[in-house]
Amino acid sequence: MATKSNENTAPRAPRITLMLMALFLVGGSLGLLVDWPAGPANLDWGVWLMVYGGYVYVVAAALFYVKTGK
Amino acid sequence: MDAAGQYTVIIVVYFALMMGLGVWFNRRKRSRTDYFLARGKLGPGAIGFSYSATQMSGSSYMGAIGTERTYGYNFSPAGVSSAAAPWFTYVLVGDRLRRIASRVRCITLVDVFDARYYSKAPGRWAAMIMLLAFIPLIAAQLKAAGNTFEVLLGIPYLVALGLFGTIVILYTVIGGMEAVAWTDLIQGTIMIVGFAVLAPTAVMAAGGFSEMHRQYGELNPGSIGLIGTMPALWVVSSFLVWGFFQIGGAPAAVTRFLIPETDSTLKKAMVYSISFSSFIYVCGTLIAIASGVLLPTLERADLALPTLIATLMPPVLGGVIIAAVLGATMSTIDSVLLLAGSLVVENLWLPRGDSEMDDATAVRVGRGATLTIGGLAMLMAIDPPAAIFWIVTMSFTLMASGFTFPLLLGLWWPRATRQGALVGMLGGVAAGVLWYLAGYVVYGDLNNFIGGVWPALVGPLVSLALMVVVSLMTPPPPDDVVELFFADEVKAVA
Repeated sequence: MATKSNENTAPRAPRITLMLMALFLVGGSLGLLVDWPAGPANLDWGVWLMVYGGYVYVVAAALFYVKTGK
Repeated sequence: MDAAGQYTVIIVVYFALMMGLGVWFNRRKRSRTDYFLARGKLGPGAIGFSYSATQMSGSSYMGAIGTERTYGYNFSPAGVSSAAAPWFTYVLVGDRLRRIASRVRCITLVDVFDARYYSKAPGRWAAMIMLLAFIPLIAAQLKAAGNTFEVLLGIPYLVALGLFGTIVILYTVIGGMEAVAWTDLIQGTIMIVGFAVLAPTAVMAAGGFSEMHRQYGELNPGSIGLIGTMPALWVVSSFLVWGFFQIGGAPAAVTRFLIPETDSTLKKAMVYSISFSSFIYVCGTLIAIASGVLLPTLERADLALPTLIATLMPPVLGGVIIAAVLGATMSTIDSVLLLAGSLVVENLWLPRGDSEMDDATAVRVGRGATLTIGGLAMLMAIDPPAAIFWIVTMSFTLMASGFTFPLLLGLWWPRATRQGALVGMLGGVAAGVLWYLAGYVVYGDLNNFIGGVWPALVGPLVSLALMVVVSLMTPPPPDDVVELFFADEVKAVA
């Protein structure tokens, strides 16, 4: 039954998720070009933010989409 | 028993279990839709892991860890982007594809093209591009597996290739999609356990997280940051390519979106897939950096992973991790073979006139095609060209350039036309190939791209431009096609 009701629902572009995707692609590309200062553990802040932080961002954004559908 | 013997026992047991699974699913009587898709028969875990396991090939495990060992954090943004690939594909394509598949009989992506572009031409070209790209892709996986056996078990490459190739091709032929997806889930679980053990072990062996990075930075000063060894445009374009453009570049993985019948299954599958990919890529980065410290003189970077396993792990545990890597290889091969078989049956054979073919005959034809393509890939892997991994990247470029925007615009833009899709598909592929050739002409090396910009970025962008322009210059699609694909929007507006 859930399937039927889903099929009758007009698909909506998930606007917030689209914005998060744009931020990921544009912000990520620009962030890669920044000369980041040194950070902890002999890595610069760019690696912490863009690499390890990037994984957190993607998982959080996916969970947001699943929870809200937006 | 020596280490090679223990590796052998574990891997033999593992393969026997996978074959058993194929036989088990073969006992069920099913239609060809079940064989190729298993629609509605798989849960979110199996679908999500299957997507990621297909996306992350065995050669990319070996190749990506080897590449990241060499380029360090210059290559890591590509990993983050790859982990985001399920996010892009599920949100932008998955839900729309699932809805379309419930209205139109779709077994392959080409079926979607056929229905959306009211002509067999774009779909037929798509099928041919895919089949062309699949053979070297499978050959590269077989070569990666053969090399792994060679290093760890000490058995000749050709024997390893014959054993592994025969097993994986046979079990795909026997089991179909349901077996493939369930074995993907098992292999994904093994990969998580294996990398969860190997990554901290390697980091500790390299002196701990901070000390490992200090040493790696001394050995590779240009690779400890985001840019340094490689030019900025190479880093940025690899970041863009390996995430978003997997929408078109990984059709075997995208086929998974035709399986689920409900929205909630699809969304849960996405979370499984992204969590799994992120975990594996983080571990992969740590393993790569550690291998740069622990194995600084290793000549063949692709062998960093098996060499590290043989160096750090007890054979029983190492055997399990190797089984995980081989599992990734198997996942890619079985998914690609299955898609190749379904393309031959559904999009090249049936449209030639035998549209009344019964399911049993169709499955037999599909199995024959799977065996043929698998056999050709094995032949290629016996003596692969030196540039086999370039060919893998080329395969991805062909598919990303040809399919990303015809698929995306076809699902979201009612004005996209048959002519636009065909010109976009072929123009994108041509642009990608020409960009490779231009790099070769300028630098004398197919792995050097002009300005560092990856061909898999150029091809899709050219495809997008051509598709939009040609679509706007040609008559709009028929009303029945727009109704079929965009009925929900039409009703919502009304």
